[in-house]
Amino acid sequence: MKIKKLSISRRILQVLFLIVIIYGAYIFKGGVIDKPNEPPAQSEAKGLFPALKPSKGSLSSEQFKKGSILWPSGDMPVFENYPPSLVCRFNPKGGLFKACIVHLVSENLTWRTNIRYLLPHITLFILLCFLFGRMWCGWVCPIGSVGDFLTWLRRKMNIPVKRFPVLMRKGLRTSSYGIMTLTFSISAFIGIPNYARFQCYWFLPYCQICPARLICPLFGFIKPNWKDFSTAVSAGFTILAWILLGLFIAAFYWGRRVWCHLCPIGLMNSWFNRGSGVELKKDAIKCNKCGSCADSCPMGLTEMYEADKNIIYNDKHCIMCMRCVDVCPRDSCLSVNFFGKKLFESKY
Amino acid sequence: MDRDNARYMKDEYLKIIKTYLGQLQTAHTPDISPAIQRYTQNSNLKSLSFFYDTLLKRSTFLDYGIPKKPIVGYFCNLVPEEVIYAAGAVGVRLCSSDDVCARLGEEIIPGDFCSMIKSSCGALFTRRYDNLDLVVVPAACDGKLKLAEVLSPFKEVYFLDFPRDSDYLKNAEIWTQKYSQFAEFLRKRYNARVNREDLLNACKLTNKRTDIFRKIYSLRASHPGIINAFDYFAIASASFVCEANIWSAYAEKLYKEAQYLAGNKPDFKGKKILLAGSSIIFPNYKILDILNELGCDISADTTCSAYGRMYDPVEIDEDTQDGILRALSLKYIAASMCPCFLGIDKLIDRIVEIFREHSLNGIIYHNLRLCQVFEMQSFALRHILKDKGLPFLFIKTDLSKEDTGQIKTRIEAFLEMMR
Repeated sequence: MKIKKLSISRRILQVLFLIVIIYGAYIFKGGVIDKPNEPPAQSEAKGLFPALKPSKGSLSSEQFKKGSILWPSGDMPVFENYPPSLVCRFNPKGGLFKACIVHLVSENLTWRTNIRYLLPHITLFILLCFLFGRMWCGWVCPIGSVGDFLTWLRRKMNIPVKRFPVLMRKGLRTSSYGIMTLTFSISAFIGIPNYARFQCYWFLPYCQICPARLICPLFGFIKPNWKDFSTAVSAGFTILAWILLGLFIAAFYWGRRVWCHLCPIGLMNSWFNRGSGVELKKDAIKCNKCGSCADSCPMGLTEMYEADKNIIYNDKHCIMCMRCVDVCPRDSCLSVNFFGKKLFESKY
Repeated sequence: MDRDNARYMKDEYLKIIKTYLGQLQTAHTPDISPAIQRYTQNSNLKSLSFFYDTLLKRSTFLDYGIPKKPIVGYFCNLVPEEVIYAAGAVGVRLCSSDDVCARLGEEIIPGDFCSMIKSSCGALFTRRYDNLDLVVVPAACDGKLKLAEVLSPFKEVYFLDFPRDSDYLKNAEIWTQKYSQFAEFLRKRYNARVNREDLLNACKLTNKRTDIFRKIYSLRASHPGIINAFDYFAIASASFVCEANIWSAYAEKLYKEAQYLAGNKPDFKGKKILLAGSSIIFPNYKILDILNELGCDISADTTCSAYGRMYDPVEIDEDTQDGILRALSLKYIAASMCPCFLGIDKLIDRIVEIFREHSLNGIIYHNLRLCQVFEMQSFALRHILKDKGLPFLFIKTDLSKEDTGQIKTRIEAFLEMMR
């Protein structure tokens, strides 16, 4: 059996990125974390751009009291930047980067930040997405890596993969739009000065239920703030977070990357996936229609299999894991291109 | 009631067989040694003798050499050999095209029927099936379907059926289910585990075979005349009755020898032909004889006895038990170019790709007479390939030698046209 080079390098990179993103702060800060369980001092973080600050009368996540859902477990991040893949604000010791894109948008909608402060961050996000597309999801995202580990565990335990019907996948994709819209509209609503009193309950609504908030701190051997029943709203959020965590584990354990259908961060990446630098190509005449590409696709995409003509493929749902290129048994039928230059091709 | 019918039919068949075995003593084991002598005299490769020996020794499986393992025979290229290996049995492919057998088969099967089926049925007379434990028949075409019925009084037949559509999206679940049932059946029958590790090991064996077959295939295409078409199809036919690991060991030897020879071989002057269509199995070398006489070489093929059998590897994505069975179904069914499945796009793509990649001169589409499915698609193939500007010849023939002269004339004209 051939060695699946792309899959192996993806695994290695996933582990490397997991370490860098979650433990990067230890390396860059020299490993000195004085008071891990206290609110951090005012930001000393350096970044490419000036840090975004809350406007007058708005809450910031540092102001939440200890034990509340939104209280961050550790220090401030090293870099005040927001890369396209998920790096959580609730990382142990703050992590290397600030947070994910959903965090950026919803926080600044609440803070009513002037667009010219926000623009550099957004531009960087779009640029990075334009270069690598959803490779951020498939190769970097730490929560995806955790999920892939669960999938690997399932395979070792010889449990067959559950293949979800197309309708359900469509439903999940639509739900991700719903989650995103709800998150942003709540954030914008509580930004209105008249309703600022709701900020202590509704601030960063998606972060409160995101499974990454519960999973990421575990890597730093810190107990996440996993329950808060002080108010009705936060009790609701706590229960919802548990449900989503259960869904997350089930989705990755029985399916493959089913969670990624629902993820609003992946959704925002996907807008720039089509037309990104990394793209897949199919040479249709070489295809023997064995269906390996569709069979191995963790996102359940079948366009590559169905195509009867030569195509350049970067669908917005494709997470660029390149598993299809790896399993294709035909020489140079599928290939990975970066701005038109062929990087890899399928090989028997 | 049914069982009584089966016993009655067995008695009837045995009567016929006894009558004929009394009359035709020579038919008891069809003698293929003259054919072997004839085809080996030209070749200068020493390692070939193993393959011809295997073909001679295992024309019946009475002395297979592995007494402890049960032998499971199967037809066609749609039965997962790996599952049979994983169950601790030995798989042999029974597809036969022997003229003598075909004539014997006419006693049971009507004369105007596919000669491959007739030959496979006629092999009953030659004690070919005597030592088999089980016969697996896939629902490839109608002929195979009814062959299962004819064979069932003699041997236990496992019938493997799937939808007549090789579309992955529609049928992958059904294929996996069918293969799982087959694995379950073998598991019970042989008290084997047939688990993930067994299947993985079996897949490694067949993938190794694929590996070496691909090397030989590309060597033949790039250096025509090193391994001639007779030897090539003998190698492929030997893989029917030989375990995958032994076959690959000898094929590797052969490949090294041929590679050494390829270095100092003068250029091949004749035409390079792509053979598509019905399978060529060892004693049936009529087309190859004619082409050899005319100085052509079959440099590549898409037949199910050689290319279709060994070119595609098992590509395992999910290495769970179900995942491996699914991957096997993709190799055997989804990638199959058998005309009993819907659609000829795959076949056309393969023909055009191989033709262009190895810069061949012409395509001969060989059809065993009375195979409707192959014949039906010949019209579309002829027109589509003509549209693409590839020289195409359709030849309809059977196992007998009667129409040799006529076919030779047609191929001569075809070669003349290519010049």
